[in-house]
Amino acid sequence: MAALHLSFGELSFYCCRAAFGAGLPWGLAEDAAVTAVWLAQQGRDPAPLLAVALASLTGDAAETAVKQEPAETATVLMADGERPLSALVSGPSAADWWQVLKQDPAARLVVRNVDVPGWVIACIASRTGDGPTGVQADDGPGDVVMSADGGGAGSSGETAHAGLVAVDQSAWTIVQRHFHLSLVPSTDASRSAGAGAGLVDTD
Amino acid sequence: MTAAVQTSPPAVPLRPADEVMRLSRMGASFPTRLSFMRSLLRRMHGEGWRFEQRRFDLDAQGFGTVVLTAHTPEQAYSLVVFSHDLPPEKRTDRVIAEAWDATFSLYDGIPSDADIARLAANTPKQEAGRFTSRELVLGRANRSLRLFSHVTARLSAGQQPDIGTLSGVGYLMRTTAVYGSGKFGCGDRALIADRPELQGAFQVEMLAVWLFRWFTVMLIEHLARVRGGDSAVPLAPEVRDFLGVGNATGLGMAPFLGRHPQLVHAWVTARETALARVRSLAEGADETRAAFLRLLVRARQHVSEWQVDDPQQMARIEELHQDLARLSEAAPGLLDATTPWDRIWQFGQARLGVEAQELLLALLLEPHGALVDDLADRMHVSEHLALDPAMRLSELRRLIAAQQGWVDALALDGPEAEARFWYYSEEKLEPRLGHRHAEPGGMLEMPLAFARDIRRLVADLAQAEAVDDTIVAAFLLRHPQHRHTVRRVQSIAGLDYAEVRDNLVADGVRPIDLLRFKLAFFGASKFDPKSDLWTRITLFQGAPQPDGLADADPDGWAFAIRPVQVN
Repeated sequence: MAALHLSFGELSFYCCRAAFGAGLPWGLAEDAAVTAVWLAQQGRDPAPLLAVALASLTGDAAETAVKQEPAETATVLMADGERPLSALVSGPSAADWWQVLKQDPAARLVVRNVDVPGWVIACIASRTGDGPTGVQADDGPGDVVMSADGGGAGSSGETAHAGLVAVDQSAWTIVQRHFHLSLVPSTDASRSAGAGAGLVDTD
Repeated sequence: MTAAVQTSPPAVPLRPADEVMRLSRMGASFPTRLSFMRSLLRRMHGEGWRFEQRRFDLDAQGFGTVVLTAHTPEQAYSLVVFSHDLPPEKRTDRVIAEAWDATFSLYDGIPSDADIARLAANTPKQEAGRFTSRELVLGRANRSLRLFSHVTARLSAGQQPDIGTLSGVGYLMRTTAVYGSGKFGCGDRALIADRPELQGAFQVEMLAVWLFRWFTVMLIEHLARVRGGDSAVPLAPEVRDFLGVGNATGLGMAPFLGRHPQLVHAWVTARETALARVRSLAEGADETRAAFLRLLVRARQHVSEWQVDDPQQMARIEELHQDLARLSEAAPGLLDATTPWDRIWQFGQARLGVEAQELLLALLLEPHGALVDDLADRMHVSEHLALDPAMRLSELRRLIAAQQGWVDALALDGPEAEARFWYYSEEKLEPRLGHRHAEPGGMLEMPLAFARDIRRLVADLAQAEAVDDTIVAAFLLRHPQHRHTVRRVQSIAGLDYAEVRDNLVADGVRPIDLLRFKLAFFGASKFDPKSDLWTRITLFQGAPQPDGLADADPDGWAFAIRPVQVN
C-alpha cells in the first residue's frame, strides 16, 4: 500500500494521542510519541510496530501491569499476568531502568515476553542510545536483553532523515483509529457551547 | 536613548511567580517591546529585508491568487494567498468552519508555478489539505464585512474611510487560524530553528500574518479601483499603517501553554528581567523621561479608543482609563527623583489596578530599548522534558515542596475544584472545555489539571516513601499514571515562571486569561473578549507596511492611536 508522508510534529501529535486513546496514561503516551519520532529520525517507519502494539493493547492481548522480579544476575521486568507484556507500557519503564543500571559494568536488564520487542528496544535506544544483546523477534512476543558489557549500538546517533517520514498507510490507519479514541464525541450541547458559537460574523 | 546593554543582574529582584503567574494577572497582560511582532519588525528593519509583490492575479471581485515575498539577507519567504468567494451561510470564525474568504501558506523560498498550483489544490482545504516541508505556515481569514464595504465604497469614490468607523473594527480581515510547526505535513520547526531570523518564538507565524496584512490593503485598493476607476484613490499612508489584521482566538492556545513550560518560563523571565533592569536604574535621562511621558499620553488615547461589547472587559478598561489619569498626574513628580522608574512602579503597585500595573510595565520598557532589547533573543529555548528515573522519592518530594508549594494554597477539594475538563472534540479536533459532572468525556481530558495532579502525586509519594525511599523508576512502575507529572516537575526544576499557578479545571476558570497572556507576548492589542472562551484581537495595528518599513521607525507603533481624518 502507498505511503503517507508526515512531518515529525504531526507524527508526535497523532502517536501520543493514539496511545492515550488506547487507554495509556498521558506520561506513557508521551513516551510513545518520543519513540515514534526517534524511529522516524533513524529513517524507520514507526507505524507498523506501533500499530501492532496499539492493537495488542486494545484487543486485550497484552498485560499492562509490570512487575520487577528480584533476580541475582539481572533486573527483570515482566507481566503481572499470563499474557505478553505491553511494549507501550514496559518500554518506558525499561528505558528508565536501563538508564539507571547501565552505569554498572555488570548490569543486565531483561524484559520478558513483550508483545512488540522492537518497540521496547526503540524506547531504550531513544533514551540511552544503547541497543540490545538479545531479542527474539521485532514484532512478535519475545524477550529483550540489555547488557552493559555487550550491548550493541541502538543507533548511530545521527538523524538519518530530517523533517518527513513515510508511514505505511495500512498501519497508519490503525494508529488513526486509536487516535480517534482520544477524541470526545461532539454533541449539540458541546457544539453550541464551543468557543465562537452563537456569533453571526457580519461585522 | 538610554544606558548601554546591561550584563550584570539588576539590583531590583524579579517579581515572584506567585504574583506573575496567576490567572487574574495573566489575563491583564499587555504587549511590550519584547513581544514577538516587535522583535520581528526590529530585525527586518535592521537587516534591510526587501519585500515584493511577485504575483497579483485577482479578478474584478477580488478572487484569485497573490504572492508576496520577503527577502532576508540569506533567504526568501513567500506568502501565497488565495482569495475566495465565501457564501454568507459558511461565514464563521470557529475552528469547525470549512470555507473562508482567504487562505494562505507561507512558502520557504520562491514558489514555482507548479508549487502554486499544488498549493491552490490544498491551501483552500486547510486541515483537509496536505503540505510539504517547504510550507512553513498555513492560515485562513475572513473579511470584516462592515469595514470592507465601507472602505471600498469610500476609496472608489475618491475619499478616505471614516476614521471612526475604521477605528471601531481596526482591520479589514481577521485570521481565524494560523498553523505552523509541522501541521498537516508542513515543515517542522526543527527544520528552520537554526535560521537566525526564525529562532525567536513564533517569528515565522508573525511574518506570515504581517505579509497577509499587506495583502488585505492590496485587496481593498484593487476592489476600489475596479469599482471607481479613475476616481478611486489608495489608502492614505497613515490609514494603511493604522489598519491591523484581526484574529479570532479560542481554546487552542491553552494546551500550548501547558505543553511548553520551559518556553513560557523563558518568555516571562525575559519580560520580568527587563522590568527589573529598568527599575534598577538610579537615574532617568531627561530624554527618556520625556519619552515616557509622551508615551503615557499616547497610551491614554489608545485606551480611550479601546471599545468592546463585553461589559466585564469594558468596566476594566474604564478603570484603567481612570488609573492612567492618576498616573499622569503623579508621573512628573515621581520621575524627578532618584530611582525614578522604581518609584513610579511602586506608585503603580500601591495605587493602580492590575490592568494599569501591567500596562505600566509595557510603558516602562518602551523608552529603554538599548537596555532591554537584547532580552528578546532569550525568549526561545531548546525544549526537552526529561525524566530522571534515578531520583530518590524523598528528593522528588523536596523538589515539589520547594517549587510547587503554590498548590497548597489552592482549594482543590470538592466537585467544583475539578468541574471543568479540556478536550479535543471529534468535530475537526476543535478544543473545547466541558463540564465534568454533566458531560461525557472527562476521562479523555488533556493534561492541564497540574494542581490536582500534583496533589495526587504528593499523596502517593508520601505512601510510597513511607514504605521504601526508592527511586522514581520503581515508583512509576507501580504508578504509571504519575509519569507525566513527575517528568514535568523534574523538567521545570528551578524554572519559576513555567507554570500557571492556578487551577485550570476549577469551576469559574476563565480561559480568556490564558489567551490574553499568550497573545500579549505575540504583541496583540485591543483584546475584545466575546465570551470567557474566546477573543478577537488586533495584530500589527499601527505598524509599518512592508513597502514602508525601510523608512519607518520599527518601534514607533506602540499603543497605536487612530490618525486624524484624511479626505
